[in-house]
Order: sequence, then C-alpha cells, then structure tokens
Amino acid sequence: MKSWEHRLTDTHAPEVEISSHRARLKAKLASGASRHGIVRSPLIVGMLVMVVALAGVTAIHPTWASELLHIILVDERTATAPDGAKVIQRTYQLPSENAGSTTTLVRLEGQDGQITSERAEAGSDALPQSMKDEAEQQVQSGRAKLYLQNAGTFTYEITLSDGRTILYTKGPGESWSISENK
Amino acid sequence: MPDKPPFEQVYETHYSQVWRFLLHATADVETALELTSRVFFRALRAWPRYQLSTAAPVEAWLIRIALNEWRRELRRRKLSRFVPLIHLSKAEDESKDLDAHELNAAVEVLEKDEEYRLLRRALASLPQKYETPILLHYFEYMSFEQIADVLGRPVGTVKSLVHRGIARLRQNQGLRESLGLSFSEAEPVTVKEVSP
Repeated sequence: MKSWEHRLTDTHAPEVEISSHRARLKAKLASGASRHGIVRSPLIVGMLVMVVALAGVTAIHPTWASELLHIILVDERTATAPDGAKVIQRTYQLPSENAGSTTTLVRLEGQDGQITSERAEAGSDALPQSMKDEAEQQVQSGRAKLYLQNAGTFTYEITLSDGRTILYTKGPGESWSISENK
Repeated sequence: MPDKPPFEQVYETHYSQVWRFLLHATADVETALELTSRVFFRALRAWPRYQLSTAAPVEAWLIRIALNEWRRELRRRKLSRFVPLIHLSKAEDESKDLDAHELNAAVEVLEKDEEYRLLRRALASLPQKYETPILLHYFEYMSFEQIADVLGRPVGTVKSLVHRGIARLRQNQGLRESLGLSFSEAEPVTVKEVSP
C-alpha cells in the first residue's frame, strides 16, 4: 500500500475552471460594484438581530429602558420572621406611575429563593400621617401582629380601619416606614 | 523595485490560483465561486494599501485573504447551527447566471476523480492547521517558503505541520482499519486533539 506522502504526491488535484465566472467577476470588479457579501459577518447579523429585538421590546413596552435604569437594589438584609425562619429583605427603587417620583418595593425571600412577600411602598411623604398614627395606636394596644423582627427593627402587619393592610416598620430611634399592600 | 501592477493584472494573473485553492479547500464548486468573488472584492479594496516592498508576495497575500475568507465562512456555518437567523447572511447565489454546462462539468470532474475524493475526505478529517499547509503543498504545489508567507509562520513550523498532518492521516487510517472502515465511508473518523 502506498504511503500517504506518495498518495499526496501522485494525486493531481483536478483542474477545473469556470470561465463564465471569471469573466463576470472581472466585469463586476471593473465596474466598481459594491459587494455587500464581503462586509457581512455573523457579528453584523447578531447586531441586527439585537436591534430588531430591542425595537420589538420597545414597541411592546416603550418605557422598559427607563424602568430598567430606575430599578435599583438599595438595601439587602437578612431578617428573622416570627416563626423563626430566615428571610432576605431586599428593597428596590422603582419608577412610580407618577412622573418624577419613585416607589420602593420591599421583597422578602426565603432561604430557598422563594418570594414570600412583596409590597410596594410609595414615598413616605405621600402616605398620610394618619396611617402611621393608626398603626402606632394598634402597636401600643398590642393588637398589631408582629410580622418581622431584625435587630432593632420591628415590622407589624396592620389592618387599617378602612380595610387596607399595611406593613408598619419601626426602626431604631424615631425612624419608621409604611409599606402599603397593593 | 518594480512598479505596483494595476489590480486588473493581479486579477488576471492570480484568479486561477485563488479559485483552485478555494475549490480544493471547500471541495464545493458553489462555495468556491462565492468565496473567490469575496476574495477579489476584498483584495480590490485593500489593494491601494498593499506595499510591494514590505507585504508578502501578491500570490501569498491573495491566498491568505482566501484562507481568511474560508475560515470566516466556516465560523458562519458553525454559528448558523445555533442562530438560525444567521442565514440572512447566506452567500449570494454566485452560480446564478453562469454557464450551466461549465458548472455541471466542474462538479462532475470533482466527483469522478475517486482518488482525489478519498484524499480530500481524509484531509477534511484533519484539524485545519494541518489540512491547510498540506493542501497548499500537495494540491497547489507551493513551496514551504511560499506557504510560510501565506500562513505568516516560520518555514520550519510549516514543514513540521505538514509532517505532523501526514502522521495524523496515518494514525486516522490505522484507526479506520481497526474499525473496518475506509475513507470512502460516509462518517469521518477523527482522532481527538491531544496537544494544542
């Protein structure tokens, strides 16, 4: 059996010429016709696909870009629920429906990553002081249900007289916040 | 120092070699036609910047463009398996409007040459770093020095790649024989790359 060197040396690659292609390409080159094919590349196509996808998303949800920019994780802490379970409390800043203001989203996640609670909180200045007063009253009277406790911070679940349920959080000192259950 | 020739002259002188290289590299008439066109359009654009004194010889320069174009095509094909929309960039039908008799004759010539087909199939089973210098040396009759110009690597490295490629062919053949196959079998058998 012949060695590979001999096989390669003895085998003449077939000579094939397509003169019509040669002539046509020569004419094209001489005419200076642009050739789109040579600038095509997977990268360009990938970029095109991305542009089309972004345009589609924008058409469906025009404010996605600004919302994305405004969704910022502002706080993350581990807390203990009244039943002893460890939960991660994450606070996000979201764009509000009212232009120029923001909403704080407080999300509680269990150790397994499951969201156990999610509450949106408008700017505290937008909430009536009366809510806080009513919540404080329930806490003082012992009617409020302790929802979460973490170091010096206590969160109570309060059902207001108008039927709304809120989370009333008392922090160290005089700090407080109210999360409205939307 | 000779004057830089007009591009038309470069085209006339080197068209056949570029076309032949791409035909043997791709083993497909239509792909070779498309890539040949791309190579010369790319070369035409780059020709004003080509320096006779410092760049590789024109022949090596063109084959290098052809090789890059073929690698780009292979990458595109690989990518198109994962991103179906990549077919947007599918090659233009370069064979359209060409002489059908010529095309059919070309395909027939390639298919009829049994020994060439077997060799081509065997070479296709090699990693490209071995396949390319072997193709250039045995099918394009280029010297090791010329291949070194094309690949931009030292002559010694080119020789080593050719020898190692042939050793790999031998190794693949041994593997095939142990499996009771020959290179005419449809499924290529490749030996896993051990060293880079």
